[in-house]
Formats: sequence, structure tokens, C-alpha cells
Amino acid sequence: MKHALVFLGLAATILVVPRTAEGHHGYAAFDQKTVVTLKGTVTDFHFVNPHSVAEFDVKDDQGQVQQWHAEMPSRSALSPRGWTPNSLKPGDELTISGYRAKNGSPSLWVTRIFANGQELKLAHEN
Amino acid sequence: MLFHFCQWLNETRIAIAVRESDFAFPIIETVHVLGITLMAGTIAMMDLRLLGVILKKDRVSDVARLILPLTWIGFGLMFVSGSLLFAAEALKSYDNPAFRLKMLLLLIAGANPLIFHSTVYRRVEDWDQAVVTPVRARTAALASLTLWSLIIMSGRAIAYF
Repeated sequence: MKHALVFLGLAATILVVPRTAEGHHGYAAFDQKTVVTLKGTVTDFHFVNPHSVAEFDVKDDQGQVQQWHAEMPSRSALSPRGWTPNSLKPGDELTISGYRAKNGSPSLWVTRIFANGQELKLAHEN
Repeated sequence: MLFHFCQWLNETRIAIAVRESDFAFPIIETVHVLGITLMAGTIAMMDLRLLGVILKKDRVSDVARLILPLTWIGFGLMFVSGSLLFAAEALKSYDNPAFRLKMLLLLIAGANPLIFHSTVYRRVEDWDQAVVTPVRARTAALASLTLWSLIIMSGRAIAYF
């Protein structure tokens, strides 16, 4: 009986606890039919597994700043292509193309990325 | 509270080390898969014996004695590697519906053998050589096969949310 109560408590906790709004997504969460291109400024770069992430600010015509989240291949995949934790630094001017998140959140899966006018290769050829 | 735990875990030194190493993450992922094959594979053998599909001439208790140590080794590999992967992605996992479903299924899959061993398996001498085992034993076996299949599927699905 005591075990059953502990179990029910744990099960309820897992299901009921609300999820935060911030989204990290797998590849399938992005609309791979359309490519969007954005210009912005790097605010943070996480060179990690299983996906690297660049955070950047995009300013619209009215001067409003929107924070974007760009997912890229893993650190393990990018390291052999010459990437380092310093490949992107806060303040770098970014031109980034990719697939936008299907849920409309300001995040995308990167297909091409240029920092300060220089392309950073995500794959060996392209 | 769960969120704060994930937040704390996400920033521990070990979590950061796993995330930021070129090799640790893929190696740990591989160990996790090998652990699952050993654990789920041996569990499936036990379940199939209880269902009277394989090893029909062997006593249930003999099969259990032979197979359980391997199941525990698989569990150890799976648990340690899984905990490290979870730590590395604790904040992402918190938000991931597939991960939550997997944790829930793991709880149920863990409760299943506890119930089995404290009830019908206590009188295993009575049906040790039976091909057709008691209904409760077959139910537990079927539940186990189903649950572990769903756990592997939801585990795989974590990467797609």
C-alpha cells in the first residue's frame, strides 16, 4: 500500500509538472521545406553535444530586438571540421539560413552560417 | 522542484564535461544502447520462457538463475550511462514529452517485477516445470515485453522532440 502510494505520487509528478515554454527541438520539429535567412548579432554560443546552439539577436525595421535560437550539429561532428568554442563570439555579425521551427518559436535548424562575412562550414562539402 | 533539480544537474561539472567533450557523449550513448540490448534481451528471454515460447524443458527458476545476473549487468550499464546522458541534457529533457513518457514507463516496468516476485513467483516450485505458467506470470511477462518495447521506442523518440 505504501509502495503503491509512492508510485502513484511519482507517476503523477512526472505527468502533471508543467513544462517550461523554452524549446529545444529535434530535427523533425523544423519545417524542412522552406529556408529562412536572418541577419543578427551573436549573444551566446554553446559548443556542446548532442546539438550546438547559437543564440542571437535580430533587430526588425522598428528597432525591436527578437532573441533567436539556432541549432546546429553536435560538437563531436563540428570539431573535425575546424569548429572551436570560439568559432562564434558575442558581438559577431551573423547571417544564418535554416529551417524554422514548426511551432512558430524563434528558433531554426541551421543549414548555412556566416560570421563576420566568413562562411563556417557545417559539412565537408557544400 | 523537479525543474530546479534539472537546472542544478544541468550545470554540474560532470554534466558540462559530458556535453563539452568531443568523445564522451557518443561513447556513453553507445554504452547505453549496449546496456539496453543486454538488459532487454535477457528480460525478453525470461518473459518468453514464462509465456512458454522458448526453453520449455528448463525450469523457470533455472532460467531465472542463469539470466538474472546478466540482466543486472545490463541494468547497471544502462543506468549509469543513462544518468550521465540525462545530466548532460537535464534541462532539455525536462521539457521533452518523450523523455517524460519514458520515465513513467520505466516506473511501471520497475513495479512489474516487484509485484511478480512478491506474488506468483513465491510459489514457483508449484509451476517450475510447467510450459503453460499461471495467468499472473504470463500477464507479467506480456506486460514486461510491451513495456520494454515502449521504453525503447520512447527513448529513441527523445531525439525528435
